[in-house]
Amino acid sequence: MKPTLDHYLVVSAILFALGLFTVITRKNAVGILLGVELILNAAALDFVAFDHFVAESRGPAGQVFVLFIIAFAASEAAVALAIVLQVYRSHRSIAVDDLTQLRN
Amino acid sequence: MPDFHGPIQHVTLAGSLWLIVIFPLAAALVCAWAALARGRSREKMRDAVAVLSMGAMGLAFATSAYHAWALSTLPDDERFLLQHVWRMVRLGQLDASFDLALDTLSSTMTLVVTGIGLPIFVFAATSMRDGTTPASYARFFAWLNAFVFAMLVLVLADNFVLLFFGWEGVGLCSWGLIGFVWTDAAKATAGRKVFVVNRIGDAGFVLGVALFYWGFGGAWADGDYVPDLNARFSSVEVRASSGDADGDEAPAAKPAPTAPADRDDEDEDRAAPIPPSNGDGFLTLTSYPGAAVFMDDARAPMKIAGGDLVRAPFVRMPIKGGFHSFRIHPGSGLDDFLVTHVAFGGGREIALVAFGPTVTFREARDQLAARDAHGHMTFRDALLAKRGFGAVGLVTIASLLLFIGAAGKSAQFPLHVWLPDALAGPTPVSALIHAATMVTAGVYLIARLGFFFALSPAAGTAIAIVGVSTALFAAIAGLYQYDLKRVLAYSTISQLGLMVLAVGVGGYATGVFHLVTHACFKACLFLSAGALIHALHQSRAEGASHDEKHAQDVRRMGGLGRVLPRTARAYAVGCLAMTAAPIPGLAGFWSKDDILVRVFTARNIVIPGAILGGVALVVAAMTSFYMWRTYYLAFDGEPRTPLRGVQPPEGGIPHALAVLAGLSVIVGVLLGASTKLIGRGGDSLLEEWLAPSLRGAEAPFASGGALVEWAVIATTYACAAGGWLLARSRYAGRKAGDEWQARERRSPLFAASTHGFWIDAIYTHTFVALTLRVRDFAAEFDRYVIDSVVNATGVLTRAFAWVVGRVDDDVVDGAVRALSKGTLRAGERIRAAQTGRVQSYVYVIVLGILALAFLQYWLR
Amino acid sequence: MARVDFAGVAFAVLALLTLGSAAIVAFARNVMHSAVALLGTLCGVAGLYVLLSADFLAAAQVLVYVGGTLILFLFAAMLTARIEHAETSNEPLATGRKAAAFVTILLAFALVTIALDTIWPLEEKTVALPSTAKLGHALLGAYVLPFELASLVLLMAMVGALVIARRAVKAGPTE
Repeated sequence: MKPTLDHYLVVSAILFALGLFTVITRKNAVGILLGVELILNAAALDFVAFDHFVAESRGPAGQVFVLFIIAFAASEAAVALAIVLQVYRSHRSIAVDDLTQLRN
Repeated sequence: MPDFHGPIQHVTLAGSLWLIVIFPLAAALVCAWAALARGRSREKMRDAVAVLSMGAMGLAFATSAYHAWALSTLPDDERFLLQHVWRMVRLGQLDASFDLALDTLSSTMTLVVTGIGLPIFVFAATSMRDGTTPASYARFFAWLNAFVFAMLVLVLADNFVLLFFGWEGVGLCSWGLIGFVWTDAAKATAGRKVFVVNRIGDAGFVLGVALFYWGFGGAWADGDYVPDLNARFSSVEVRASSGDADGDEAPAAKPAPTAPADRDDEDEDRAAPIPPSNGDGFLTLTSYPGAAVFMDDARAPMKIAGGDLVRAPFVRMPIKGGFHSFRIHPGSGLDDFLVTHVAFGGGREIALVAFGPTVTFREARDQLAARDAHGHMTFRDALLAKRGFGAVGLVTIASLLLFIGAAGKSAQFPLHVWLPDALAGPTPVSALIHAATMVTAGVYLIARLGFFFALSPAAGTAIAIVGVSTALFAAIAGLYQYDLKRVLAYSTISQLGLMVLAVGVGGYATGVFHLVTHACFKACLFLSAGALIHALHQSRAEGASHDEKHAQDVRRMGGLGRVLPRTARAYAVGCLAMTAAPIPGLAGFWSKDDILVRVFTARNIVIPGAILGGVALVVAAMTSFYMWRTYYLAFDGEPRTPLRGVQPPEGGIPHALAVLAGLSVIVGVLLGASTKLIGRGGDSLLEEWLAPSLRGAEAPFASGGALVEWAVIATTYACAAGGWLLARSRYAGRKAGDEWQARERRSPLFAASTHGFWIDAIYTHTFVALTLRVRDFAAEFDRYVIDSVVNATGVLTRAFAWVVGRVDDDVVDGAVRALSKGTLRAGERIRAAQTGRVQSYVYVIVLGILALAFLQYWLR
Repeated sequence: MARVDFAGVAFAVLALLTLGSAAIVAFARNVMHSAVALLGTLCGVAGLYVLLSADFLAAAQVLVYVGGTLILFLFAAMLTARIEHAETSNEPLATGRKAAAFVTILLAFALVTIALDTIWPLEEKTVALPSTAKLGHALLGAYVLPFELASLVLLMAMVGALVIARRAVKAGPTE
């Protein structure tokens, strides 16, 4: 069976769903960020799949995009985790249940 | 053909009658303005006011005299000047216009009012200078001029309504004049009393007018009023009031009953048949001033040759012979009247006369004098047949009611109580009101309505009885009075009683004669008394306390003839005129004698005239007694208070007195005796003069000839002389010591006399007390019932306001508050969605994406 | 004898690896386990890139993502690991796990359906070319601006992370 675009799209969809689930249900801030990574990867996979299977009109647009995704994911992770560290220092907790100062 | 025939009062239009009344009116307005205007404390204003008033009065007198002369140039039965000033009231069938009418009676009255008024004004101009500020001086003359104006309107009125204006006007002005010094409570009360008593009379007057008006238009049957005339106008052939027997008249010419009237108003000769005696006729219309007349279906109203519209009233307009119909268009919203089949011809004059209810005197008189084709006086008989209250004649009731009004004005018993109190006013006021004007209004009214009063002997008798009783009662009351002016007041009432007696028995001209002479000598008496009192005031002004009552008290007078000779002479002349003794031949002699003759020969009354005459003789004797008593006590004998400083009056006063005294001497002779001397008819000059005005009021008198007259004269003179002698024996000369007072007190009539028969006290305890009780009750009612209703309304309103307030607070504001609370609560609930957790936000984002996807993908 | 479809098998294995690791990331109790499982996911994805002839990307993925980002995560997880309930990271939220699962499945379902239903304009790529040169040309050609900006962003991120993660400095003359 040769993998077609559909297969890759299904995979990325499930990956996306799992990442979303992680974001929604995790209490640990780091865990949530892990879920975000999953989501990003699913999107990236989609891009590459499209780049491979779909007619390209502007060069390797999909792959360029994924490159940027990787770069930005890294920077975003860095900043996010720096924030998490700072939060941990001030609140002694990174359970999002406790970080509800934006409430109401 | 004319339906009726009879005498019709012809009127001559005069455009200048208003001049008689305008001078006093203008003077009144100017004086009133002066009393209120800015320079009103300047003395110069007094002179201006006095000159103005006297000048106005003089002009009014001159105008009256001129018009009297103008009347005399007219033929006998046409002495009637009419001026239509203003169309005042037109309601249904009532037409009361502001019409000034001058016939001989009115002219006599205007001459009396202005002629006597002029000396009184002169007197007042001088005597009112003391004790008044210039402003109140002006106010006095304003009232005085207004009074004269109202009186002139009264006598010049052509109908009841205008007469009533004048009637009320004199009542009002008498209130203002008598209560002139209104800071004095007693005087103000006296003024009020005049007005109130007059008002009571006016009630009777108004009822009488109403009955008069209705009586001419219908009758009562079983309590319902049934009008009995449909047509308003009928045609009356004008004839002098010749024979009065029924059915002996030549029948009016019957025209050939063919050919209806001409249809167009072209004056062509036609072949249509005309009445046998051909020629033109004349048309007269004296009702509805200002009405236009359409002849024979013409579109345009009739015009006279010059092109002016013909307007009522007009007399003897030439009309082509033949049958004509006329449409009378009064205008001002009233319906037109139609008179058809009027035959003209033979030089006869046809008048269109209004039949039915009317308030105009001459219309009523013309109606009552109309005879139908058989010579019956239909309307008069119909009027006499009308009954009210069962069997009492309508004419009797109306006459009595009108007499109540006259009694109020002319101070007859029991409405005389105002006259003695009216002395509270200044002397010129007493003179004018008591002598010449207001009190004569009642007598004038009866004379004016002579044609009506003469229809009812019962009413005439009642009037005569009231008159003679009043005369007797007042004479008794005047016997022992100490206040000089009060004596004069009672004597006025007494003389008025005699006037009323005269008109009650049917001697209308006689009553007017006595009115004229009385005006002269009473004014003279009042003014001399006033001069006397004035002089006494002046003398006391330097020294002791200044009490009015003392100055008028005869007990403190005496011997004043020495220092006030001219005043004494004037007073004596007045007494002579009034009492006709000891020197006969002055004014009152003639008129009183005339009255007594009439009374003894009257046939229009129910009781024998001799009874009334006897009482009148007693009155004459008493009159003589008390008048001379005052003369001797005041001017003769030893002075009871020092005469030092008593000065004769100055200024215009002596002249006024002289004029009045002179009038008192000659006027009786002039008016009473002349025609006998010039051999005409045997009636006095005045009677002949007044005859046209009193047409229709001919009451039957027994003619006793000269014998009766001289017998009456002799008896009257005897009584009067007896009274004079008695007075002289008691009071004249040195005999007037102090014991005269004691002797008076022993007299049986003394108490009743001095207290005026306690009439005032009776009234106070009955009517006045009742009225005050009613007033108290009304005040209580107002305070407790009406005010509590008002307060309850206030309480209810407050309660209602409270409820509304609560509703506003709870319901309205509650709704607002609920709204806000609801919003807050909803906000709180919704705020719960702001969990502050990112994950829930993510959740929501996902859901949103799903929703979008759903919409986009599956719902397309 | 059936020819073994190498691509299909490879795909299946890699997909399984990816999804399995993702599942562990999602459901593991311990955040450290999740972090480590992410490695599997990242590698699986890298493999899938290779299958999709994005060889440079696969290498970049492994180098940057695994070598950098994952390590970062591991550091952060370890640095913040001394919390009591750090391991119990599946506390229910307001609506609980079931609802989350439901929504997630629904989303997955939606995505799959959309993906499968859509008619993509497919073009067969016959030869798997090395993509590095193509990428390089693109980056310095048509996409030079994003490229430069990306370096700026990375700088900002670096500075930002340093600033944020600094220990709070008390205001004072010392140091």
